[in-house]
Amino acid sequence: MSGTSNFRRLRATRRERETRRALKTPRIFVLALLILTGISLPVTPLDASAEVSRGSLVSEMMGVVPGSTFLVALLLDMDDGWHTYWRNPGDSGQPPEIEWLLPDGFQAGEILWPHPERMRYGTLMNYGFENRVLLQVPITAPVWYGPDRSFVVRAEARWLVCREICIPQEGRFELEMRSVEKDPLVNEQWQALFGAARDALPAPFPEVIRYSADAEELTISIPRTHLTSREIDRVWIYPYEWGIIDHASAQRMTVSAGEVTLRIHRGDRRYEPIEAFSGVLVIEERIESGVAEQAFEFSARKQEDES
Amino acid sequence: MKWKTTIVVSTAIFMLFGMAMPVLAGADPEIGKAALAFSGTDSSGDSVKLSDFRGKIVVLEWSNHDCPYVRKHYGTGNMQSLQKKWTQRGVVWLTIISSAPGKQGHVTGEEADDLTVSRGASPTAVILDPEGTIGRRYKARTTPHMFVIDSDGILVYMGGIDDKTSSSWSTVEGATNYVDAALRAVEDGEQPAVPVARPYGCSVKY
Repeated sequence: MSGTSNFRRLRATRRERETRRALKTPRIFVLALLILTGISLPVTPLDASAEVSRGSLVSEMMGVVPGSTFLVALLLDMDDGWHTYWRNPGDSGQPPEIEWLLPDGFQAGEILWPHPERMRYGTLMNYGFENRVLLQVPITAPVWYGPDRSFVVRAEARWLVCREICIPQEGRFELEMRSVEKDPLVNEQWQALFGAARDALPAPFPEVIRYSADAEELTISIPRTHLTSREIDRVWIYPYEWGIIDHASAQRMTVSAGEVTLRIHRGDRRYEPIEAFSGVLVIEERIESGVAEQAFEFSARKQEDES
Repeated sequence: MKWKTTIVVSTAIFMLFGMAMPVLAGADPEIGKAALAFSGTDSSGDSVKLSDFRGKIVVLEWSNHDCPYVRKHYGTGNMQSLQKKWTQRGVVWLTIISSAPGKQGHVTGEEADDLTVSRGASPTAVILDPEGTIGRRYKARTTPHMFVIDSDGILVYMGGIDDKTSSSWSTVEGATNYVDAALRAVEDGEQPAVPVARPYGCSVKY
């Protein structure tokens, strides 16, 4: 446990995540709340023929100050065994897409992707999410937007869910919010969910990760200044781009005093040199209560570059 | 306890070998190298070998008729028009179905022929690969997943059919069709500008 304080920010252990899932609010209750509050008005997904997942548009705030940035999210709840995909879906699949229809002057950013899970299907590997995922997107309200006005955030979303088979899902959603003079108004219904999701987002990795590659193998060197070897259970990397690695390949890990090295088979793009390589790194550490996962975003440098 | 350890160890050894084998055998399909040989059985029960088509350009198309991504390309007529265009020009088009029995997309020879007729498709042959032997050999991961082999038997393209990695039918129009581009290049004796692209779609139901 010593020497890990820099890394040990609030991260969910597996056990905590299980608890969180178990605490999932019953749907009828949610529906009642939605009707009572009129905050979120999810429209029935267009493809209702196969209801294996439910999407909704949720907001962390009810009232926002003009000029500020707030988070809204596509919340996907999937039936047991069904999954959707990360930004790099791996060997098959497709990441969810959200198209925003916002009032004049409002601007939506990109999805803040949580780190994915590895999902093996025979010889194939997918990167994605099971059960429930909150895909947060920052939206900025224009400075000139006056206080005490209501506005509607609209979104059209498409997401693919697969279990043994794949079913594209889609939905049109709208969310009524309002502007406030100064104190932002939190949406208590979703505040905890947003808080937990924000804490689990990949943080920038504090050190420089280097890589070298040939047509066969990608080697990644991750400095481990802050970690003691005993605690590292597993390190996984998830490249943002397709074809850099063979997604289903073993990620062979060696731990030395100074660094963790991963050796991974190259993917279909092994004929191309890797000019840049970024993605997410998940470190699984053994702690008393189980395994703690920490996710980091990285942009690796080529081994030769000494800059 | 001891028994358990044995199982764990043998599983680990099995997994190690299982993962190392394709690399040791150098068996992955590689652009610019000879396409991996295979033989199979087509929908009429006849044996089909890649070597039967030496001297011809060959397209391999992995398919599962119930996959939404395959449905996009057949529902819009995109796959059929590509098949028609190129088989008329002497290209051999092999549709391969690697779905295991009981899994989505698995068909009998008769069902495969019915699909060819009902969809107005024109493959040279539909190869039934229920054991996934050809699929695994080519590391076919999605439906569709496309491969183009030139008349010298060299693999020149592998990946998605186009650059629109979506199941929406509206994305077919305006897409850059990599297979069409690769076939045009090969016909002109050139290398495809894009030899590898991301295969997209449903996973192959091995």
